[in-house]
Amino acid sequence: MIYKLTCKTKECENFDITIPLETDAEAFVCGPCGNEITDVQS
Amino acid sequence: MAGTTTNFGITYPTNTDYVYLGANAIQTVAQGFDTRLGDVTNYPDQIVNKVSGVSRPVPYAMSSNITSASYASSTMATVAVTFPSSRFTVAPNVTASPASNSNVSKQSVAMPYSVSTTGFTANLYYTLGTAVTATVSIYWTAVQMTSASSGG
Repeated sequence: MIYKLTCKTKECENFDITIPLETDAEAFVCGPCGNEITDVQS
Repeated sequence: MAGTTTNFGITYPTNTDYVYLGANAIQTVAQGFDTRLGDVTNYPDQIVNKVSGVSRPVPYAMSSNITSASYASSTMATVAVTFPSSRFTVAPNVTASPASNSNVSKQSVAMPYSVSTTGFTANLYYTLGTAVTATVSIYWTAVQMTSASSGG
């Protein structure tokens, strides 16, 4: 399944950028800031 | 033009050179750096670490951090991790390892899979095979050596 993940950490370089990721996972984390991504769309 | 820089060997004017030769001097300095850094506009030329005349290419792109995955009364945990936006142009080589010193961490292995240019997923397996509930930290590193290949 392809997920669209958007990091909402303002200080992060991925802030407000939607990144597609094809995977099946129990949790989603933003690599640069390490915070959990809660804005997940499938 | 009597001086050269210690590390890059870039030629520069000295205080006894003529002012009317200033343009030529600046061009020589600019050309020196241009030659030293290489043809970075055409791949696969990369920035190269050059020491004592020996070239050692450095990775084209890297990313690394620490994350965690949680067992929920299970023997496997998964976490999907996004890379920095536009960091990689090909799927990088990813290594992952349990990072903490807990008993569960010591009996866990981390396996990256579904690696793409945008991220990867890490599977955490509890090798004792019994269901546990715990959170384990994972160190991960992604490397793309050249603009066209993850290895190199």
